[in-house]
Amino acid sequence: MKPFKALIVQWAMILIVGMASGCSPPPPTQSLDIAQALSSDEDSACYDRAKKSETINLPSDHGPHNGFKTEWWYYTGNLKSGSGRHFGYQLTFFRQALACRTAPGPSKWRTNQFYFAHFAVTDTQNQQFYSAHRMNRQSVGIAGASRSPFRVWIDAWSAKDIKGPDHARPGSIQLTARDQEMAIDLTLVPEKAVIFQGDQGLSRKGPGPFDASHYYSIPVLITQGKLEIGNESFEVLGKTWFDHEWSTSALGDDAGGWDWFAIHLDDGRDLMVCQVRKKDNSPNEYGFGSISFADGTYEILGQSDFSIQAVQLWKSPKTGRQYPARWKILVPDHTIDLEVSPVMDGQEHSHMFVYYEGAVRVTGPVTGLGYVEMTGY
Amino acid sequence: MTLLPLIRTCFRTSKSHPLRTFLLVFGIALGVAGTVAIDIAKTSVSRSFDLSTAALTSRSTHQVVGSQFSLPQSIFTKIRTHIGIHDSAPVITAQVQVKELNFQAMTLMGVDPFSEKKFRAVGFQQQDRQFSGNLAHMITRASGVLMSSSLARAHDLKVGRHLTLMFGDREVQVPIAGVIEGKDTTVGQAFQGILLADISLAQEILGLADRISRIDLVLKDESEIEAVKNLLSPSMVLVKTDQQNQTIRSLSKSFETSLTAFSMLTLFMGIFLIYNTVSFSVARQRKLNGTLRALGATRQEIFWAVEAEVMVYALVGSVLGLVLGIALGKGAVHGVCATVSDMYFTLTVSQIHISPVTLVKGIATGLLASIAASLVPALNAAGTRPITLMQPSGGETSFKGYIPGLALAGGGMIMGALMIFSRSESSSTLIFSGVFLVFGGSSFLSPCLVLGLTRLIPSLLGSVAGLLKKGAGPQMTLAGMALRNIRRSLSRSSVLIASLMVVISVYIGIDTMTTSFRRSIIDWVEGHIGGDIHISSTDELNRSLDPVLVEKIQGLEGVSGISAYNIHKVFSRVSGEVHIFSYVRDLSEKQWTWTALNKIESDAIGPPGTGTTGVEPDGKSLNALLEDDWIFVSEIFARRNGFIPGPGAFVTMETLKGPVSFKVAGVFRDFFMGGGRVIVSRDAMKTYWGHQDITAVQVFVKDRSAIDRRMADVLSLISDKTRVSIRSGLSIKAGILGVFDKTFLITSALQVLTAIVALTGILNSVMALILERSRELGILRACGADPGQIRSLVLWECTFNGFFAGVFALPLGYALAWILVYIVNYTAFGWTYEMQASMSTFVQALVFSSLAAFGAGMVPAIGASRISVAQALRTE
Amino acid sequence: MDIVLSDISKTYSGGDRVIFKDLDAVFRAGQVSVILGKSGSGKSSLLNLMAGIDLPDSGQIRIGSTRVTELDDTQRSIFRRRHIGFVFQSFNLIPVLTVMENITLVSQLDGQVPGEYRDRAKALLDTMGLLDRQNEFPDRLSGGEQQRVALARALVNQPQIILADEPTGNLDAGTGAGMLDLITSQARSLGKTLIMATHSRDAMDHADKIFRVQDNHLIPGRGI
Repeated sequence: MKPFKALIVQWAMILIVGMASGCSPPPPTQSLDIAQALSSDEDSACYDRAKKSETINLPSDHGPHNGFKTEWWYYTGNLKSGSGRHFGYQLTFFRQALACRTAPGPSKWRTNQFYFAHFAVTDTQNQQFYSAHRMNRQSVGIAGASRSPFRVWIDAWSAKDIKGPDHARPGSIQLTARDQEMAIDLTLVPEKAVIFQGDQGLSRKGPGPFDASHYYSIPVLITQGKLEIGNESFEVLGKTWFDHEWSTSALGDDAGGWDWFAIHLDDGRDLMVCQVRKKDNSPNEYGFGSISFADGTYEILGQSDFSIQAVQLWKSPKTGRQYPARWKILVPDHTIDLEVSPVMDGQEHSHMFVYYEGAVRVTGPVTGLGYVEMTGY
Repeated sequence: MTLLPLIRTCFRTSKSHPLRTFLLVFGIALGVAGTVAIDIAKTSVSRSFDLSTAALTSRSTHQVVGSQFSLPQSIFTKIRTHIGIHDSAPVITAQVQVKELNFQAMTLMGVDPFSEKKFRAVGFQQQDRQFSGNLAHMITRASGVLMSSSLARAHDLKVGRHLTLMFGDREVQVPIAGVIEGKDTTVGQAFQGILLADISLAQEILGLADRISRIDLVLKDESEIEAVKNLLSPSMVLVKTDQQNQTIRSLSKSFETSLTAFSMLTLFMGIFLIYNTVSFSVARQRKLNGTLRALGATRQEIFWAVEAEVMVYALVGSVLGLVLGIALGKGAVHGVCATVSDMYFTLTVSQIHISPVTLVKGIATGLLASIAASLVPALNAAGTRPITLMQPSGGETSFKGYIPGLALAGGGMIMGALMIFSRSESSSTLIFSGVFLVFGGSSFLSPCLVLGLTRLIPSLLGSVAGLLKKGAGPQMTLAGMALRNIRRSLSRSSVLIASLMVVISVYIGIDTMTTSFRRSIIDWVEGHIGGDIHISSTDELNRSLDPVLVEKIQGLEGVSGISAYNIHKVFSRVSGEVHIFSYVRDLSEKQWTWTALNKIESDAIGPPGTGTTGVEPDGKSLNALLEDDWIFVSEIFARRNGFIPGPGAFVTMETLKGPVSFKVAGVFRDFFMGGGRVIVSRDAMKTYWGHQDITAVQVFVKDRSAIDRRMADVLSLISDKTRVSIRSGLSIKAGILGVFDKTFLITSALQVLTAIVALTGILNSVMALILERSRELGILRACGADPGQIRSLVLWECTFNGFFAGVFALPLGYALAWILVYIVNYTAFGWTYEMQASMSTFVQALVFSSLAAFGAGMVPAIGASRISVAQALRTE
Repeated sequence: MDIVLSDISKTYSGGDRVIFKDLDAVFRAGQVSVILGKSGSGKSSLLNLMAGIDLPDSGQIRIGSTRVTELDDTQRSIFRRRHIGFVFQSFNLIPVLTVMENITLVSQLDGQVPGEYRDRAKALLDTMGLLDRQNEFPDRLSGGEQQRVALARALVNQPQIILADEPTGNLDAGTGAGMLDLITSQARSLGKTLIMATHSRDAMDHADKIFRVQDNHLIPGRGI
């Protein structure tokens, strides 16, 4: 699904390189060091590329693919407390290779891998959005990812396999993260089969031979556990969408951002659609999606199978950016006609790079809950 | 407005006496210069400390350190992943000399840039600085170090060039990966002394394997503190950063205290010089003021006219003093910083810091001291009787009436000072008030003493004259007259004598302190560096010697014995860095100076050493005690740890097994390093700190004349000669003394200053006295005294003044030395040493003071002998 | 302004040496008085008392309507510089000031307007024949010239009273006589009260009134 998270990183790079070369306005006083750390100037030729011959093998491919430049593990979900109070949550781990190889040297601090993570909680009732991030090099065990059993972590934030490997479906996952204002400790049990996005997991992004990523999703993980906000603690239950994607190559040069939706419909269907926008904000032809049915089977959607239309705008007081705040989503072949709106405004991350990732509510003929991600605004 | 003509008159008068005016300005300038120079030295040292530590200590609230300054990095991983404290940063630091920077001492600092945001990195990013060079490369390739751009420029180093890092004789080549801009801010300055590297590179350069130096933390609450504590193994310590900084700061404080003492002394001298100059200047203008009074000038007008004039010169003098002081201060900074780095704490940033405060302080000192010093003379001037009422000795009769009161006040002040110094611990302010009281008190006492001496000496002179041949007769008469002159003009003589006394006593005090200290150090060096040949590792990263080598040396022909030991630095919460020693054997051969022995054990190792009397305990018992897990601690260590000797007294130290309490068998005198020194048994070293190596060997040879040959023998046993240093005991002793001598550069400068002040003061006063007496001298000439006799009379008077000052300065100087040695030094550095008053210092002082007075009298004496008789008689 | 001394007693050296005892005297305004007496008899002391430079042990001095003995030191200083001109035996010119500056010093001390006193000083110097030497320093002048400057200094503030203590004491006979002429003629032409202490008999010729200090009293009369 989020095929184009690569964009985030790409785009962060542009920002960063701009800073470093000094052609943009004076850099903000924070995080220049990190930004520069990311501005690896090596070209991509020495990295692995996504290609058809590499089919995805689970569970081992849950683990990291260090030969690729970029990789992420994405958990987003909607939860409810016993009293029916709604929360959205997001825990995402990103891996970024800073170079193809680690320079030689005996120190265990040496690495070419770098991890960062975003953790967010949406408190719908109080209209509060909490967001935090972490960043570490993959050294001496303070961040990393492992294959068997699967685990990805930064500091004490982690996602890990707690049930052992299972060839058909990945095992249950425990998500743990804590920041000053919020914490989660959730157990995720997969309920539907893995969706191999695109062409059996090879998700094309552009016309070039390597313009693709390896991409699979688990549309529904039943999520149960504890969520804390401030001094309050809630027993919560709900559904999570999981994406795992890795790639090296970039999106097309004309890509300006994307709008991505993952929606759990109350009728048992789960929909993911994503449109890539060009610089002029019109959709390009590389949109993609999937729909999975109550019985666990799924279909892959192409650009022509769906449409996303913004019907209302919201301007962020923090960053001044203007985002769509209400959409109409149509998938005519499956008689889907949705009105989608955020559960609250302002679910915007404003850390190193700025994007919108928030819980959404669906009305229309069918209702449901989901997550939206918007970049490039 | 009406003051203006008066002031103008005063200035005209000053202008017509350029030398006197110059002396006034010079006196003020000298006082200010001394204060400013030492203040600059003080603030620069303190700032150098700050800068040398600021970048290192960061914004952490806490630090995790190892009992031996290193930690396994796994503890960092645990802090991050087990308790999730993201505001934590691993740090590696090490002192290194850099060949390409003229062997400047730098701190090699390894950090993880990703962890730095909360700690130091933010500091890099203020507007005016940016990295050049690719930080991504720095991390992924970890190929080089970052250094301050201004430092790089100064040494013509460019990115890509290699630096040679030297750890003793071990050399490591590392390229410059980039430069850090920013020379104007504190952070930029702080990085002047730092080579910044990715933690991986630092680890590799230092061969630390999987260890780091420490972890910086920002802990938000008790629960986080507890959580971290629970993770730590016994050999790790969680300390508050403030506390750590204070430990380092306390070193800087040592220097500040002692420098403050010196700046106070300079100031005292300055004040006296100003007082002296102003009061003579006023005396000179007595007739003028008398005329003005008769013509209708009020007392207030005269007072303000005098003050206004003094203020103008004070301002001029102060500004000159600033310039002079800055020049002197720069020299002093280098001296002091070098000393500090040699002995206590490597100052990687040695910065001359001239703060506006210092300059304001300097000017204020000049003005205030001038006001204070001119207050009495100005009041005197205001009290000048109109000229028609003047009688030659009018002022003196009234002054004599004050003498008992002054003496009483002086006695009281000295009593007050005694009370201050009898307290066991005094703040430095109190100490300096004490010094002030001592000086003030003795100055107030001096008229009374002068009076006594001038009465006593004529009778002595009389008997001497009787014994001498007749030719000496006229000289004796002149000497007697000179004494009467001193007595008659007591109010002036005693000012001269008191100021000279203060200056000479400062000379004596400093000289006595310096010689005593040096003597103690020689004793200590003799006692502790007994061996004829010293062998130690030059690899600062690995100091262990090959044990086989030790055996081989022992087997060498001509070697009568060896003493092997190891030294290891361990962490102490209280004193920062403590050096722990364990000797293989042979404690008895050292000369220990015990400043305290634990009472319980006094039977075993001799009588309890009270005070500073040296006791040499029996060696066997010493070793036996050590094997019983008793330890010996140095004076500095004891003081830092607030250790009070007594039965059952113990100190707690950080060990591999956590904090352990050790019984202390004795406290010995030591001048070694800042944090103090502890002697433990070999077993204790192994058990508690995990070392059983040998880091140094002292070799005793049978025939001392053959030391060179024995050194060659030892050298032949060593395979890797670059890693081992062999030095003769003599050269080591010389080296240590050299370091300590450098410490006293600033005091020597102060001594020179005292001499200048003394000469200036005398010259000034004598000239004024002579001029005042010109009529009298005219009469003498009219009565048939020849010019030579006039010269003699003047010179006798000068010499007596100098001699009296010298005599009074002896006890005062002794007292000052006592204060410097037992109070100031102890407060500042925590060590004591025996004060050894040397006769030669006293004789020197006496001779100097008399000769200086004699010399200063020469010019005025010649002038006096040339007085025109008629003119002198007519003018009154 | 009359000067009235009543019941003046003055001792020195802590009462050991009695100078005056219950002395009464009146000096009339506009008259020239000469006080004769041996050296040390108290002539100078009497002038000091009248000038408010010194205070009697008891008794009262009134000048015009001002009771000088009841003023404090500052008030007396100010009274002195406004109402009394003093001429000393040893001139007491201030060596670092020029002739003009010496003369105008007192006016300046009093905070007067420069234009006025400078004009007065010039006129006086002209009278004394010293106008061309106004910018010289005292050490370039002869004794007689110095004393003339001192007289000008005493007159510049237009005091009603001039006190002169042995004004010819440091001058040779010829110069001294000239000085006496000058000082008395100036006093008379300006209508000043002049009191001169001297042991010079020449002075008597110029006097309206002669006093002698004798046995702690001031005895009026002519001749010795």
